[in-house]
Amino acid sequence: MRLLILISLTLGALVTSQESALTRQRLHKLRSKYKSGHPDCNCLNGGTCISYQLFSQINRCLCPKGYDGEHCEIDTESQCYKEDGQDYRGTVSKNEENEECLSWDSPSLSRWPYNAGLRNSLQLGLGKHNYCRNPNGRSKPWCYIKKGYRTLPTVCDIQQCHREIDSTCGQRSFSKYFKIVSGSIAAIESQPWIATIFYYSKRTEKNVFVCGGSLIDPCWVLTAAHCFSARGTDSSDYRVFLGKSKLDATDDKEQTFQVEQIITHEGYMEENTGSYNNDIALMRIKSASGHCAAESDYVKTICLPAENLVMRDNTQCEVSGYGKENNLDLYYSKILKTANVNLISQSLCRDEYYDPNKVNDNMVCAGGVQWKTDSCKGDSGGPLICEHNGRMSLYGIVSWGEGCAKENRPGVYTRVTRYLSWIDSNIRRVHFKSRGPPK
Amino acid sequence: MESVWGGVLLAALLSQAAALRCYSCDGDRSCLETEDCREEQGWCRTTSLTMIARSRSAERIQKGCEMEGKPNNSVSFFSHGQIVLLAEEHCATDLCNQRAPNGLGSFSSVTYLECLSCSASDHSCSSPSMQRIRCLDPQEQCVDITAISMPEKFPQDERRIKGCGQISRCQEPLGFHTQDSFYLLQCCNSSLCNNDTRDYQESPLPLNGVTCYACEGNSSHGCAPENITPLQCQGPMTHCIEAVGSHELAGPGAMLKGCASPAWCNAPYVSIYKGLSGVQARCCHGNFCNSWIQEGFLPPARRSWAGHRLVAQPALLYSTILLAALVLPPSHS
Repeated sequence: MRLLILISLTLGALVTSQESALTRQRLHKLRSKYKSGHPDCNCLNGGTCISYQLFSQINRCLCPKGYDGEHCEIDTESQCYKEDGQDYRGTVSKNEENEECLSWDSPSLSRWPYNAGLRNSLQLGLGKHNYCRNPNGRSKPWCYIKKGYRTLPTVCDIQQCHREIDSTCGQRSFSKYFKIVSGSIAAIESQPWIATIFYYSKRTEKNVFVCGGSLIDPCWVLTAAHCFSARGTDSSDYRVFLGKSKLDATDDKEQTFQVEQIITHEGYMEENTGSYNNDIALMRIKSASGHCAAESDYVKTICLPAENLVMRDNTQCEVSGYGKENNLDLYYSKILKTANVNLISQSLCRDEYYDPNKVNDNMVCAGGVQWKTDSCKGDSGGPLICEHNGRMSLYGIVSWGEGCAKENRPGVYTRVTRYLSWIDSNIRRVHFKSRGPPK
Repeated sequence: MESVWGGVLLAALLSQAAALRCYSCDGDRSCLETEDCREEQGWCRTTSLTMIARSRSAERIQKGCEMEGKPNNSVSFFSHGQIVLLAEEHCATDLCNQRAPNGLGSFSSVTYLECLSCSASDHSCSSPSMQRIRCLDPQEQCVDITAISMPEKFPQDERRIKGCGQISRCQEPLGFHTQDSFYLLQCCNSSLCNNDTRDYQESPLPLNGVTCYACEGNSSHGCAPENITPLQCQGPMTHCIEAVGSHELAGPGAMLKGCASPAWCNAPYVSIYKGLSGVQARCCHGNFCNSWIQEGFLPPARRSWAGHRLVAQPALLYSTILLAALVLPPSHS
């Protein structure tokens, strides 16, 4: 039986190596985009890069507590693996027979399909260590061991996690699916991370609705950069509401905030260039009493996606907002709505529905079944959320689209996974554990 | 005619042969890649970063071509509970940077100097009870390295390190500052002597009475006449300095003026900290004496103070010759 497992592991390794070669290239490309003139250590998990000018700018990552490794890629506190363990970055290094794993950079592995010498070894979690990993989508983390003269892959002695307990992001107290365009009402409890951004007119002393947003941290709302192109980025001009069910009514569930800081992406171009590239912005919020958001049934954070998360095409996700129910409507919807949309393949969206000048890899497209649901004007900045590992992750930010729910014209969203470093560096939280829940 | 081509070929071959070849890589000790150096790069470099924690150690080695004149330095210190060893070595022959600097030194039973150790990245340099580190090499001294630049070009730079080390030319304090940056490299040779706890950013050194011009940039940006401001010099920085060179990003014509310690004037640290190559630097003593460099180049040095006009005459002569060469058409064409 064990032999069978071993054979299937090896076979699996051979079969999947081709596929991973593709993702490898893609990830490689993705990374190089962040490379600029200054030294970059590529620190993960909120690690800080420090360099030494006196020594030709050689640099190293300073890892937050609980992380280790040259790129802070090793999670020293991880006790178990989730799903199939592809994201496992813990430190178990023994197989089920208590035999010590071979280090992934061991010379005897150089001709095996998985070793530390692979170009995408960092993405796969392989490096100068012998910790169990699952780089090829097997059922659980594994490693190579040496048996006499033979090298064999074996399954590791790690438990699967029961369920995450330490974080509250991406979990709603109540969930139900509704629609925005041709849709019905969503209770705020089903989208407790949604933020509403208002422009506060000092002249009329009235709030004018601007955009939606998502609470990614008690102090930070993520939204679209284009939300500020009409009225500027003076933070004193804006107000943010959380836990708000109706646009035109206040109740005791909602929390009101002033804005301390607005950071729009430096690479965002104004619309008149015809491109919505880098349509992303951060807002730091603070209440009149100086506090950030307080968690309740109506106010919760949404998880940021894992750095390398690429959801499959046609995955069903949700978009929500207070936008128009029809592009031609005069008024915004007064009530929060949610719609189901399916992710659309990048090439289809770029080449068939739009054109490569407009859609790039910083964007992700989604549309409703038979084009009946979509985000629309006024939903901008709001969340496109997808379920991953049993919780909701912020996969996209409502950005643009031609018309609303129009055939062959899907909604286009800012692809959040491309901006995790940007978010990280702007929030400057050293301890941004697993890019997940705020503590 | 053939002999002329032969000569050209020979010259080409010679210049080929003159290009230095170095190992070039970023990773571990198993480095096989090589590169051909550019004309101005006369040395090969090896930089190593080793981190030693309780259970494991990690090493990073960088190799490549380098400009001549950089010092061989090393330093070891505590940071976040790990020992960090940094070392850089240079050599001048083909593929001479094969060996990595042995950051660990020789582990012998002889005990060497003991120094205070801290690093800014874990905020331990402001701590009253600093860790102690035992030097691993008899050549090592106690060192105290400060490098602050504002606005922070590299906000992630380590601003202060104390530990053991070998810093070239640091018998005298090596210091330089402008309004925006401050560098001070100090060495001393007795047990725990690197005990200066002053935070140079929070409480600057006392002024020494010298005033220099200060600026950083080039003649149109940063060091334009309106950017050049008077600067009161601190501590051991009793000389005015001005330098021009080629910046790694901004290109040639990069300028720098400020206060420097006498030792700094002859040391290569301007190019290291400011990313300049082909540096021509000039130090002088006296208020506002660093006003020679204005248009991004250092005028030819005067031979004597009396010869002020004599300098102008050869210059006139040369330009006449140059003009004549340009105006007179080549006779063979």
